[in-house]
Amino acid sequence: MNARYAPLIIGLLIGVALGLLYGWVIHPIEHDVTTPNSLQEKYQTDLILMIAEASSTEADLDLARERLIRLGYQDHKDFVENALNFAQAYDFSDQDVQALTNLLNQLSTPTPFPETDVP
Amino acid sequence: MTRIGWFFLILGISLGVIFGLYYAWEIEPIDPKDAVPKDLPGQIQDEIRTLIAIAFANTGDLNRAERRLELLSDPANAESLRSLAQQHLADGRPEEDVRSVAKLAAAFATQEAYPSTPSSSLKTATSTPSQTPTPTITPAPTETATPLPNYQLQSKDVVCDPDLTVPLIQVLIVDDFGNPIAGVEVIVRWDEGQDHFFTGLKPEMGLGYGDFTMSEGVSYSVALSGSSETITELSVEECMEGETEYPGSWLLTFVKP
Repeated sequence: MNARYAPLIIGLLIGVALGLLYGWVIHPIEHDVTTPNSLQEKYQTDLILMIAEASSTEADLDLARERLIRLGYQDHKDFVENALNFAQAYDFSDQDVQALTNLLNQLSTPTPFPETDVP
Repeated sequence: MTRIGWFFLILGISLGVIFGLYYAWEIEPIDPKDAVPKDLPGQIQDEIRTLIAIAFANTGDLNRAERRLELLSDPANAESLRSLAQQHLADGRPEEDVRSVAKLAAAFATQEAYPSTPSSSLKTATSTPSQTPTPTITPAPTETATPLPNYQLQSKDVVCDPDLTVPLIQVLIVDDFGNPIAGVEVIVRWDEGQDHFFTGLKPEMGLGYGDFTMSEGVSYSVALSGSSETITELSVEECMEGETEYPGSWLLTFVKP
């Protein structure tokens, strides 16, 4: 490479570093807090735990799904899995972990396809 | 360094800063996930309140419900929960949502009326996950998850009370020991329609109390959700105070055996 362009390369590296420093650390972009997805993980876990507690006596799994979706958890299974991992990592009570495990198991059960008349 | 070298250096830094900012703000913005429940919009907070109530209805852990409600923007009290239950009722939300919020409102009303010694754990509890308490499923006197309870009509009385400005169907539901039961759905039907209400939304009248305003000339029937018994032919009765005539009400008392 021509040594003539070395200052350009060095400048680019310095510039990128400065840009990232400013954009990520000094002045990160502010998110609109509109869904529980923006919550700290401990609060998200507690929310999922509430749904698990609510589902403990609910026969209707769709209602649990609906509650998750209403709170913005579209990929609900992933969120429940994350919540379970968090609960296990932070020593939630056995009862809480069990409730989350039950909810995850319920959500993992494939929904049977409705029978259709095949001509 | 030559003059052209300085030019390239400054040009490089400028381009680098532009790219770095674009990457940091647009392509891969940092997601701090540092919001707390109070930051959420009011509608989502109401959803969370409802969830707290349903979880409470299933676990009976009032302390945990209280701690969770404290994380939201409005203070947790019976009045705000009652408003939420009425809002859910007006919005046609599932019965379980309304009933659960009404039950939690009733539990708070009881606590406000008969405050117990505050436990130190309640005061010092934080939302730190490691400190999340083990739900203690202590059967509360009025909160049970027993499905489809049967209720029996104990009494059906005309109430002549001139202080009542409108004729009411008043319903009081108690258990065997006389403890009021909140959160029971009461269905009122008449020729042209039907409506429903829940006990416990007027705790100043008692946690097992609920009422419905009657119109003159209409015959109503009343049934409790989960009970097969229907009380029919309830209409505005005439009461007298001296020479003055005024509309009377009905008081139906049900017992859960």
